[in-house]
Amino acid sequence: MRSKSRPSSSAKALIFISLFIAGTAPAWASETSDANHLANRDKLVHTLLYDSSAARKVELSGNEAAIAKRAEAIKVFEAASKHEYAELREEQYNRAVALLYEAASLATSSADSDDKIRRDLDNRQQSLDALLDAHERIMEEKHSSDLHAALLEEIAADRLAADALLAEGKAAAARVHVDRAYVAAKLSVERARKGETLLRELKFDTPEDEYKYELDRNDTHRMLLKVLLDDKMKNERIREGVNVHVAKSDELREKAILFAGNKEFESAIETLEKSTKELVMAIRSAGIYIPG
Amino acid sequence: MISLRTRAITSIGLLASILAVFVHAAVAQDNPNAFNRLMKPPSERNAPPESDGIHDPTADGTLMLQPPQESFAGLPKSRSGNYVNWSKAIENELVTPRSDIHDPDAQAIVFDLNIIREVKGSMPDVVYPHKQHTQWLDCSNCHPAIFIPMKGANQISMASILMGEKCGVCHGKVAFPVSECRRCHSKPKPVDQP
Repeated sequence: MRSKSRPSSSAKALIFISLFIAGTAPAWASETSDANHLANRDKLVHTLLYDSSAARKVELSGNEAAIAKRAEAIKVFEAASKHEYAELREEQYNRAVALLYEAASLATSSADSDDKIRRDLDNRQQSLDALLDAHERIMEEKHSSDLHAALLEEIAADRLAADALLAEGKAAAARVHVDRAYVAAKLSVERARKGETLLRELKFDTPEDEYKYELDRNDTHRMLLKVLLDDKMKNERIREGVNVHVAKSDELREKAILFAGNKEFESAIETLEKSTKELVMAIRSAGIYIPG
Repeated sequence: MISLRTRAITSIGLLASILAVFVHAAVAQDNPNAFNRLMKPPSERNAPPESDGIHDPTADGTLMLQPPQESFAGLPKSRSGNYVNWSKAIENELVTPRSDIHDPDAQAIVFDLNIIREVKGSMPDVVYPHKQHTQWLDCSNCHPAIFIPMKGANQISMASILMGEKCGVCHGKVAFPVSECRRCHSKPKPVDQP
């Protein structure tokens, strides 16, 4: 008969496991963490060198120097993977990454840069046009159309110069003139509207427009349910309370859609308003106050 | 007294917890919502660049970036987003964003124009202040690609904003999230007279 004070063989095994874990856990955890980090880094650098957009860009560029640089990066990476020491491996991974960046930089053709300059110029030109349209409307509203004419005169030389340079394919030089005209327009709009407050009233041309607005407002509150209550819905009590209101809201929305289908927009609007109110109550029932 | 079996189980439990952390990290990487750093729980807020899910952890430069928690330490606090009140920070000159990439002395042209948009229900109307926006941005960042600068030309709805359009191009991504209703819906409706 075994003494009560002696642990059983299964208990001995548990002691052994327990001591083993307790004694080795910090070292084990640290080594595993390093190993995981390196394995992860190995995978990421591999992706960067073989499958990334930068790697494809180098491959497709036909630029010999860039392709050679990427090949060098791959060589460094392959050698790094075989290194026994983590620090050396890490260092070589960094070198491989740096080499790929150099390759990508070499592969960036002047055509790419030209495209960007042209895109930026087009965007700035569109902004200038939008500002000039706004400026014209503002000056009309203020009975100062002469100020719009003055602005157009002020920027005329720059706009002409920009067009001429662009016709010669000199987008970067054209941009300087477009920028100058843009700043002039911006300053003039700023002076005209400084300190003002404009009111955008809520007006609907037809009941159908108002119905569409209500439908959108209802959609919005449904999205808010997700955004605001995602975490809270894990609580059963809250979820049940919320779902009661959501079910009512769903029912009302269905009715509203039927009303709208019969062109009864006034009833549809009223029913949708009630549906949205239920959603507001659902959100509030979870402890979040939103006006509605 | 805790039995030996319990101790062993506790140790194994600890081991399982450590493994669970690794598994959780891997799952978080695959979660489509994980990129949205503005909606993260407190424990995951303002993570360092190499683990924020935004920067490339393999890039050399990523490790050279200052961790946000360190750089945000002296800035005014906010209740959401990345928990910095950037408007106050710029107002108090704690940050001075450069307005021109090539010219360090260029001054931003700040546009002091408010636009009020009426909304239905008891929800306060929206006040859009150009001033706070043009302290950071240029007109061309928004006009005309996101907003046409003309009365009635822009159909803006909260649904579209939540889907990342209009104001949602920035708000919820790099500016405070739309869950902060009162920061935009800030003009109360007039009280009805009896």
